Amino acid sequence: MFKNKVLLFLSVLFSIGLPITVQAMKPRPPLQLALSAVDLSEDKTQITLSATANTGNEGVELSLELPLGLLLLEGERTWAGPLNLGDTHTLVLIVQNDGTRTYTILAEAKVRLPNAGHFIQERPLVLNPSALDRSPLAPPIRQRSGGDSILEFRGN
Amino acid sequence: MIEVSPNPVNLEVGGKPVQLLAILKNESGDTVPDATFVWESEDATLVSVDANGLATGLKVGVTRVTARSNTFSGSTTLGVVSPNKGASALTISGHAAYEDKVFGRTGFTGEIKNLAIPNAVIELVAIDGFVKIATGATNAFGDFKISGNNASRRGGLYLRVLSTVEPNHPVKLEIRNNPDDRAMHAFTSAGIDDSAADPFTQSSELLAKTKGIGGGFNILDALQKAATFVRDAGPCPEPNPDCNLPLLTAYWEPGGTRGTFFRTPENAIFICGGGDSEDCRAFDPDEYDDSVIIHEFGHFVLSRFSKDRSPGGLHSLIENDQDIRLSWSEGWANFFSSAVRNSPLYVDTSSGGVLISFNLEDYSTFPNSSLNTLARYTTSEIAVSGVLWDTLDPFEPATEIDPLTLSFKDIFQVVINFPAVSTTSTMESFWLSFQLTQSAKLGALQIVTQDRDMRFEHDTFEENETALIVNDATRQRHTLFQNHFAFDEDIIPFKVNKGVAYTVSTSHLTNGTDTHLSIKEQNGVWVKENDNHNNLIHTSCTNNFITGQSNCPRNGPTDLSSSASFTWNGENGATLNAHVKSSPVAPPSAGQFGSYDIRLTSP
Repeated sequence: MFKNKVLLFLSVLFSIGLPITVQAMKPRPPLQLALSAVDLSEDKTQITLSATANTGNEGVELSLELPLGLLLLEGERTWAGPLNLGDTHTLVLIVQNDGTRTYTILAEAKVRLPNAGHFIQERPLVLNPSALDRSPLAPPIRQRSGGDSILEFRGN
Repeated sequence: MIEVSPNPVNLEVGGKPVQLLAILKNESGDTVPDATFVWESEDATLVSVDANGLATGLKVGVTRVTARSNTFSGSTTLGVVSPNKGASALTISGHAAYEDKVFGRTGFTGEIKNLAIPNAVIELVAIDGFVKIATGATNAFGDFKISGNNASRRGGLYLRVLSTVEPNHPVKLEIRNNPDDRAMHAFTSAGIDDSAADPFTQSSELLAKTKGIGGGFNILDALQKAATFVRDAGPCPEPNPDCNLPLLTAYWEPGGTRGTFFRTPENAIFICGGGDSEDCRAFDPDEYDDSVIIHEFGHFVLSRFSKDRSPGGLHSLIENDQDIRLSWSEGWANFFSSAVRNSPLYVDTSSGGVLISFNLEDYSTFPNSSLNTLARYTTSEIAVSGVLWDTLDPFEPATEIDPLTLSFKDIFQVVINFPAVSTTSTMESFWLSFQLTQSAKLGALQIVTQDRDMRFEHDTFEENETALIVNDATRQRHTLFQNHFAFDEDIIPFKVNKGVAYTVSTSHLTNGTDTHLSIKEQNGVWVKENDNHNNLIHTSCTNNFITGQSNCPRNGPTDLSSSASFTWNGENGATLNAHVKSSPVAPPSAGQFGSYDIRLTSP
């Protein structure tokens, strides 16, 4: 009964011609890659690569390249298979990381194209970045001017 | 939460300190007794604060003092003023700029360039009472000169540059943080002590940094360039011959989580600011991605001056079976971005590299892929972008395979003429409008479109259809095309024998074709008919009200194909006709033209 009322309400909305909201989004690559790291202990770090399909892909190859000096303790560095629209596949690695050096890990995804060839995507991740890279932006000071709120950020 | 008072507060240089008070409150709003606080001044050169919250003014300017207790914090704004009165005749001049991040095919290069902030509002604020005392604007080169009178207050001023184009400028743009709060961004100068002289003059160089709000002013600059580019491509139809656009609001903030898209009907662009959400990812802020920002502005332009019937939503570079309305809208936006920036490169950076990087000139992507074989048909946004870019091609002279070098103005005039030739907005509309506005160059456009397998032409069978041969391994390839959106109908004969079962089917549909197949006798008597082989009708497909995604079928090789099976039970053998035309119940995602294969089989 409630569902019918909701459907009727929506039908009325559309029939009276309320403006339809359309979001024209920026182009996406075939996969949305996310690469992150979490420290599990003083010398162990978990690396997670997630690949979410923005379009149906019949042949996907994922791989994580570890630099020299970063020892793999657990997990598989590669995977291959299909990914339907909206599906996600995740690779999880545990590496030895004492935090004394900066490492760059590279995730690569290859998507097989219908007419042969591959679309290649890369995503780097820096482990143990320097302190300068982590400094946050000072929040703005809020002021009023006329009817507007103004967020003042320090310049120069 | 912690409340700090007074807030805001003025104190004088070298004057009486002000005792700040902090109160820790729990979730219910009750005061937590006996809380202890750590006090910190954001700029210890302007204000010092001791362990008990006693603040002393040291130098003219504005800063913040924060009180912390465990994980909670609260702050107050302190404006330090001169003990002497301000000047009655003030003139502050100078230059406002922002730090721009240079990018190339592989992402940001590391180079920072200082670029002028043109035509932005600049305000002179008296620190005593935090009162705006004068408003001006930067000129097209970022220079400004602003005058005021601060004699009724203690000396102390600062400048702030707002993220909005000044109201007298024909381009109407503003950058606000989000649609709920709608605060404007600004960056400020250091404090100015105008009590030192009267009249008082000073020159100030203002710079919005990449680590600060520089990205917001890059957005403002990129959008201004795009709007001016459009104004220069007129005239537009009356009553707006100057091609003026209404106010566009771009919503962006550092750490913002909504974007990146253009949204009707609000005339708003939402730009990812480096926050993490379903829309945006922390590694993909877009405030310095000019390709992306101007791409979204391209949608705004299409919505105002032409037509845009795209359903919007998620779309990917590697698709060539898109909704034909979406491939036009996105293809136009990619092209528009490149045209404004005078570069075939589209680069969407991410931390450490790129999310997408492609070249409209040769369809290469970074790293090391090519979309050349995939960028085909009117249902591929990359193919549409590439065709439009090839009609422009400002760098290269005309060649045999790339024979057009039009101006953006020429192309824009074709696009704004759409309403005169079409009820929708697709690459097909572009062809038909081009036919009217640039008829002498139609042959050259055909060379460009054929390179991307867009077939705006009659097929070789048109004048004299060749009979289908049963179980012929070679399929006949036809186009559905007529000038001026008239309907083409292919009438293809084939022989049948008594008592034999046959199937006539269309396949390998390209360029948004939706076929309708009728089998008829030579005298027109109906034998069999089929629109979609799966008998589904998609005429009313639309966007899902909740997800916003379109539920229209894709334009793949068989999604909208037709198939008619029958057994001929006539007295004798006969010659029948397969009538193929564009479906009268086609979904709005399909085109009017396109190409298909047709085949006759019998078991």
